[in-house]
Amino acid sequence: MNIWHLTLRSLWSRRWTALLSVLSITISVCLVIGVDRLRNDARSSFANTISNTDLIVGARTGAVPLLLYSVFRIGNATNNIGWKSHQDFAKDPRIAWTVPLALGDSHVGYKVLGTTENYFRFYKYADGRALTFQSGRPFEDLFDVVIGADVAHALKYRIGSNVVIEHGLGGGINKHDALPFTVVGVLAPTGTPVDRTLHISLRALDAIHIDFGPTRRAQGKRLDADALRALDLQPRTITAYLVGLKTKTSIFSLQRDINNYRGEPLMAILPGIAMHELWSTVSVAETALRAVSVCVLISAFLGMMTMLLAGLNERRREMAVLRAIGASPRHIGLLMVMEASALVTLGALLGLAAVTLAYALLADWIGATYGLFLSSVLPTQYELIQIGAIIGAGAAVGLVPAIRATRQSLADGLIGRA
Amino acid sequence: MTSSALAIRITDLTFSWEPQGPVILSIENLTVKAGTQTLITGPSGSGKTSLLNILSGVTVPTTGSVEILGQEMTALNAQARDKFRADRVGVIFQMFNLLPYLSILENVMLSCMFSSERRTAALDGGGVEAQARYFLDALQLSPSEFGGRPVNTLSIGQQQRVAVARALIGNPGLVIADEPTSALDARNREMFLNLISKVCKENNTTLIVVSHDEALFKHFDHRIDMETLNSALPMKGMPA
Ligand SMILES: Nc1ncnc2c1ncn2[C@@H]1O[C@H](COP(=O)(O)OP(=O)(O)O)[C@@H](O)[C@H]1O
Ligand SMILES: [Mg+2]
Repeated sequence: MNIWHLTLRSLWSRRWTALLSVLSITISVCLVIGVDRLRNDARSSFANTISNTDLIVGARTGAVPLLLYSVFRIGNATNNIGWKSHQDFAKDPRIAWTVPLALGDSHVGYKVLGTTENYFRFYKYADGRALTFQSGRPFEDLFDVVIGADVAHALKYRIGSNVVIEHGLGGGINKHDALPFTVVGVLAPTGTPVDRTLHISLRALDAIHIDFGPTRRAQGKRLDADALRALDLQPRTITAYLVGLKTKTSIFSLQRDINNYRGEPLMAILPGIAMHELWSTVSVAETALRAVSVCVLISAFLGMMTMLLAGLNERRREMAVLRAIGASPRHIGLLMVMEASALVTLGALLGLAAVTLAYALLADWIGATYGLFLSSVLPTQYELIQIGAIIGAGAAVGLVPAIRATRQSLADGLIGRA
Repeated sequence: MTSSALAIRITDLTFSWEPQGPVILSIENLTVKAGTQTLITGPSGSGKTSLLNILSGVTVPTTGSVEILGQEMTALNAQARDKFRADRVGVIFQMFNLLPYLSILENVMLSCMFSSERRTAALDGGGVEAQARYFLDALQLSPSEFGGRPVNTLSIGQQQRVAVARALIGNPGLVIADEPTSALDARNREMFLNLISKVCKENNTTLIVVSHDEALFKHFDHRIDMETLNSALPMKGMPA
């Protein structure tokens, strides 16, 4: 038997009070590690959403809102931009490609994106990865739809499934029953909002709006699919477009030209810079969350310290016995530090295990619900370092009761005072 | 007579608990032969516990010298004195000698935790656990019946005997006991004193017991009266 063994036996004899300390440490470690994980995953999830795009062009708002609604499908554009201005710039010799994006419709809660074939060629995510098809092909016909992996999975759609696109953001009033779309392609999972998007051609988007426009509705006349196919459909507005340049050096001159465009107020942003701006907005909330979780950790430490200090008096006899068998006051102090270490170690490891388990169980659900793609399930090296630091801090907290116990056992002498 | 044949030699000792505090002990000369059994008596407040604190090396005299089992205690620092106690001194309290979260047997073996010397000594007796069983048996606590039991299932008399076993394991040389029988009834007191003096004699261990009860004397070789030993006390029969 050694002093560690003795510490654990002593703690075990007080296991119910000890358990409370352990649990409060577990909870706070869950918070500290969990908040940090979510933050890192949110960052990398966001950062991975778009790559190889030099500029994003949209109506004049802030850089962050434009980034959010065009790329992350979060929120809605306050203004659209004209197809004509897009065409003007698409011809610009500095530009290699553009990907027009028209948002605003939805299908059972999933956003519908009107775009062109360029989307499948030029939209890149993560470190320059292109979209690939799990099955099927890009849209060709007016009523072809290409769906993201999550859409296919959640709604159990396959190639050939019929899809009804709603006007606006759902609600079920304006169903375009007359114009069912057919799934022709399912994209492979990307871990980006693409997975939760339905893609149709810009012409198709236009077609459903023509067919469902207020004039048409008032007249009670609906065109059938073939009649729509026959029309020469031209989109009038889009939400935004992505730009790829031939040479990166022209980026700022093009940005300036777009921002100064006379036809309508436009704005071109660099995704990286907008992303950075987004983080500086979010980091206030992050810092607040972190501060709260650190406060919870501190209060757990204080709770443990209270428990150890409160126990000292009733454990005077225990200390005297240990002194009698040759323990020095320093040993008595060490015992306290070891108790604190044992409690914190147990609490911290339980906390880490709980976060890891929660991650493994909830990753899919969080991805589907919040669009946050949780990455590593196993603890990272950084997290292990944090856990180490927390255990170290807990042991240091044990120094307070340790010093008290040392003083007490010195003052008591061997036999203790009657 | 060489000093090694003495378990205790005190010369010109004075002691107070606090630097400017009252002098609690003033002992000109005290020797105790190794292997003997001594009873120290005196009324409460006469400094018996303070003396045991010095004999166990928990504290040192303010002036003077204390030699225990040949070791000058004032030459050692606090840590070395704790180590000395772990190796050479067994201590028995009035009560609450045992750790409630350990079994009886583990409580006895506890003495070897801080002392490799006592562990080694116990090995000669067949190992730490074997020696713990041997002493429990010698103190009429059948190890097979009591060894694994939790402490709180024992009577106070039985607990005190477990404390003796713990004090004796690993052959410490000196055992000191502070009022070990004051919580016991007459029958248990007799049994306790018979057993402790017998086992100490068998193991050639020096035993110092302090008590305010002079009637215990018949179990001991020597008796020392605090009131004659400790000149810091007011004269007998005079008000304090
Ligand atoms: N650990 C201690 N710290 C300070 N003073 C003590 C301590 N132990 C005993 N004393 C004091 O020493 C004096 C003698 O007490 P003590 O040695 O306990 O005598 P006895 O054991 O004979 O009753 C008392 O005044 C007591 O208050
Ligand atoms: Mg006393």
